Amino acid sequence: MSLRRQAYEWRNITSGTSIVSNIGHPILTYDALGQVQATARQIPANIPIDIMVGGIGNNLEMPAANRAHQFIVIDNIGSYPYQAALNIRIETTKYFQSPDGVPTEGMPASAMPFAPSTILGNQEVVPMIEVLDPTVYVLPGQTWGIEYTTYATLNAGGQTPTTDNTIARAYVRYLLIDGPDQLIAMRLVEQSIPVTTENIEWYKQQLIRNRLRADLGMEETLEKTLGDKPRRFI
Amino acid sequence: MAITIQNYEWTLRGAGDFITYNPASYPTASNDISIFVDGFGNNIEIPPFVSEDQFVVIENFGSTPGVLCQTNLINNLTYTTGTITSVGTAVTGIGTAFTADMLGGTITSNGGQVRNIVAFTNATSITVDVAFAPDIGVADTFSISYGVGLTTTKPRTFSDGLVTSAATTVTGTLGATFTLDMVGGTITINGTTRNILARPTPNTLTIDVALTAATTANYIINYSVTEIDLTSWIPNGFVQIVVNTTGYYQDPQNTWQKGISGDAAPYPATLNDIPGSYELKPNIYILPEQTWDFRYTMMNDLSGYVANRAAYNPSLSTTIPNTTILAQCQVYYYLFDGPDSLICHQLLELGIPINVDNVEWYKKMLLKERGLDTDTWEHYLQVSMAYREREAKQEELYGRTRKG
Repeated sequence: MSLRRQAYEWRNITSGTSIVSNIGHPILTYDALGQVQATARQIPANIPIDIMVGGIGNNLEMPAANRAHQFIVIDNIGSYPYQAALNIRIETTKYFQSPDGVPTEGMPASAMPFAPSTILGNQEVVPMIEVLDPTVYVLPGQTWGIEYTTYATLNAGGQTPTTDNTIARAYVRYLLIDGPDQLIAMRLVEQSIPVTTENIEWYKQQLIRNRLRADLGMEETLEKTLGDKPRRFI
Repeated sequence: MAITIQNYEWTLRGAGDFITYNPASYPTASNDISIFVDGFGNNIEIPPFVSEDQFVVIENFGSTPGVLCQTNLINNLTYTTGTITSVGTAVTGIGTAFTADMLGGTITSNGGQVRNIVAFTNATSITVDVAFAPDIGVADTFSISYGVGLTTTKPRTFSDGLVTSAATTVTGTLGATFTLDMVGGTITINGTTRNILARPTPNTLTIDVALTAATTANYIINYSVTEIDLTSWIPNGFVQIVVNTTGYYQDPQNTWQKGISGDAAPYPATLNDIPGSYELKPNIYILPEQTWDFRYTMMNDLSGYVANRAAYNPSLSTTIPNTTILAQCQVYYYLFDGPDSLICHQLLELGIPINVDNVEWYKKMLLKERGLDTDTWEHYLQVSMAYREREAKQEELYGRTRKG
């Protein structure tokens, strides 16, 4: 399984008193009246929050980092509510920037939403951008993260959510390439060929074809037959 | 049918209308379970296994969307019987039958003012969070929205074991264990019916009129039980795919994760839903002799909720009708078997994606090559024979053939 389609989802909801859940998505409990015993945590305005280690909602224990044999292609992100935006950070560089070169809040949720299923039809936003094209590469050994920024404070003071619509969320989908396929991905990058599943498969086919030709001794036979005779191209 | 598209739908339903909630009948929150063999919902008899002449390509999957479930639990009942007056936050009912279930609900009155119910005293007295303004001096109509599940009264019968009756006491043996629910019901012994007034112990009942009966199994108790039917639930679930012992999904810190949520890959999706954000591209190949599994994790604590309900109002038990769908998961995949599975291997070795089109293409190539072999041979044979005939004729015509 060297080419795997992965996804990571973040929500600003935690149970108990802690504002972060380092073990991933928390168990949500309900009281006798069906009220969830959890809190949608406050997200301050205009402050980027790392959705993996930002200290709010479900988090990881360590930042996202590629191992030496891993290569990541990010092709889809999404967020909610619509006053939010996502930026991709690789090492210390943010991907989305304004025309003057200054990093921005990133891709607005209105353009690439990840809305809850409970949202009403007339409030749904159809994605203006289906996928990131070109995709974003995270090379072996690089650290990366997704930063969530909202233009207005969300869930001020921390609120008990009443519907899914009150929970902030973010989503990133990526292709995880590891093992021998990662070497192929790096070769494609060197040759300025887009790293996609199709191109990796194509490159593997070329490798197999070349190997078959070598096995058949075609090159050797050709050399022997042609010798130093002038070659004619047709 | 060497190439077939297959699907498997897993549905976790309530255990049944009259079956008191049993935590063992449902998955524990945060524990992943197999949708195929772990004993919850519809299952198959053995774990999925790809035999030596098969090849499986998992194309896509989805599960029940949603995070919170209280939107389907709170305030699904309406109560409007009687009228009310109010002084400050105290609300007094006239001809009402308020219940403890209304605590946490909302009451609308006094020209559309909405207040939260923060305390329940009795059938005619509740407290709201903010006083109606002004106080309701003249009895006014109202509407209370409340509830968790549907409170329903259901008829039941009981006739286990044996009973003996002497005076107004009925004694049960050999499994005739009585419950408090039976008080208010009737018992019929050998065709004579009496009303049940009390249950002093689990094995005795007090009836209204004396009845003498020797030990008999010929009896039936008719009574009713008021229960809460959980009519909907959102699981807040995630799906992980496991091939042999390896989890397909891992989080960015390279550890096992619960997988893809129902919001990212919803099933079923309605017309109003935007297509799910997750797509299983590239597909997952399950090779011969491999086992595979879909593991589902529910993050909403169903057992905890039912336990809280029981502690809050012990007289009401919770049941989950089998019409209530607690969670669903659907997977569809391609099954290649027989010669087509061999082609899958060939494609895999050549680094060509395995899908129906490519397998069909490869088959065409094989057929074409085979056809070419015969046709070419026949063609060259005919050409050679024609050439030889022509040469022979020419030599004869030009007199170059010497007669021996």
